[in-house]
Amino acid sequence: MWQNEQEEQQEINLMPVISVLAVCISFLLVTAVWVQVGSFNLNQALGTEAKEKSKVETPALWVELQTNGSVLFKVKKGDSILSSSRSNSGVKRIDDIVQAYKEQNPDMTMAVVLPAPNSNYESLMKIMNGIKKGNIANIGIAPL
Amino acid sequence: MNIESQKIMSQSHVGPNWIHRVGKLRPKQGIQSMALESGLTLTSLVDAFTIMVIYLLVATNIGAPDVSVRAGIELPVASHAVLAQPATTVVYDSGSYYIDEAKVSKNQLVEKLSALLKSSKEKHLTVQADKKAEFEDLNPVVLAGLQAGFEEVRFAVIQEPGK
Repeated sequence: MWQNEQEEQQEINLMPVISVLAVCISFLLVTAVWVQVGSFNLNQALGTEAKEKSKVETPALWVELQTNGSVLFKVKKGDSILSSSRSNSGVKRIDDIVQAYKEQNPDMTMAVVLPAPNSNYESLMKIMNGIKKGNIANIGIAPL
Repeated sequence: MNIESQKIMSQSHVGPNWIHRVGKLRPKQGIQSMALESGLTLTSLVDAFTIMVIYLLVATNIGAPDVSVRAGIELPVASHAVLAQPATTVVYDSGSYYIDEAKVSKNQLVEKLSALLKSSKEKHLTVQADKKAEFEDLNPVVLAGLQAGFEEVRFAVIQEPGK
C-alpha cells in the first residue's frame, strides 16, 4: 500500500505541461505570419550604363515586352546582338526560354527588362521570376 | 451465531475480514487503472500539442520582418523572390499613389521621396501594386525613386508557399 502511494506520487502531473503548450499554440496561431511578402531587387538600367561600360563586357539578356503581348528576347554583348527570338505565347514559357539562353551563354549574369506601357505588373513579375529561375542574378528595368 | 460458527467464518473467506479486504482492494485497483488510463491519454495529448508547436514554429514565419500589404491590392505570386525587408514603400492603388499610407499626387512623388530619403535610413524603395496594374502607372514611381536617389527599387510580390 505504501509503495502504491509512492508510485502515485512519482507520476508527473501533465496538466501544467498541457496548459503551457496550449498557451504556446494560441500565441503562435495569433502571431504567425502565413503570407510571406517577397521582393525582386532591381538595378536601374537607366543611369547605371556608364558604370557598366567600364567593366568587362559579358553577354546580357534583353527581354522586351511588346504592346501586343509578345516577348522579344535578345542576347547582347556590348552593342552587338548575339541571338534573338520572339515568343508569341506571352510569358507562359519564359522559364524554358531563359534557361535555354543561359545554357548557351553560361557567363550571362545580367538581364534587362523593357516593359511596354500596357504590360501588367503580374507579367512583369513572371518575367523576373523566370529570369531569377534561370540563374541570372542581376535584373535591370528600363523605365519608359 | 454460536462461537464455533464464528471460528469457521473467521478461518474461511466468508465473513467480515474478507469483505473488508475485498472492499479495500477493488476500489484501489479501479483508481489505479483509471489513473493509468488518464495518464496515457494526457501523454498522447502532450505529444500532439508538442508536434503542433513545432509545426507552427517551423511552417510559419516567426521573426520575419513585418511588411504589410495595403488592403484591396492583390500582389502577384513569385517563387524566386527574396524576403522583403522594411523599406520606404510606394503603393499604387486604383489610380492613386500612397507613400506610407499618405496619398500623394504623381507630381509630388519626387519631392516626397527625396524628403523621406533625407530623413530616414532606408535607401531602398519598394513598389506595391495590384497584379493587374499597368507599367505605365508604375513608371512614375520607378523614375521618381531614381531621381530621388534611392539605391535600389524593389517590386513586392507574394512568395509562393514551400519555396
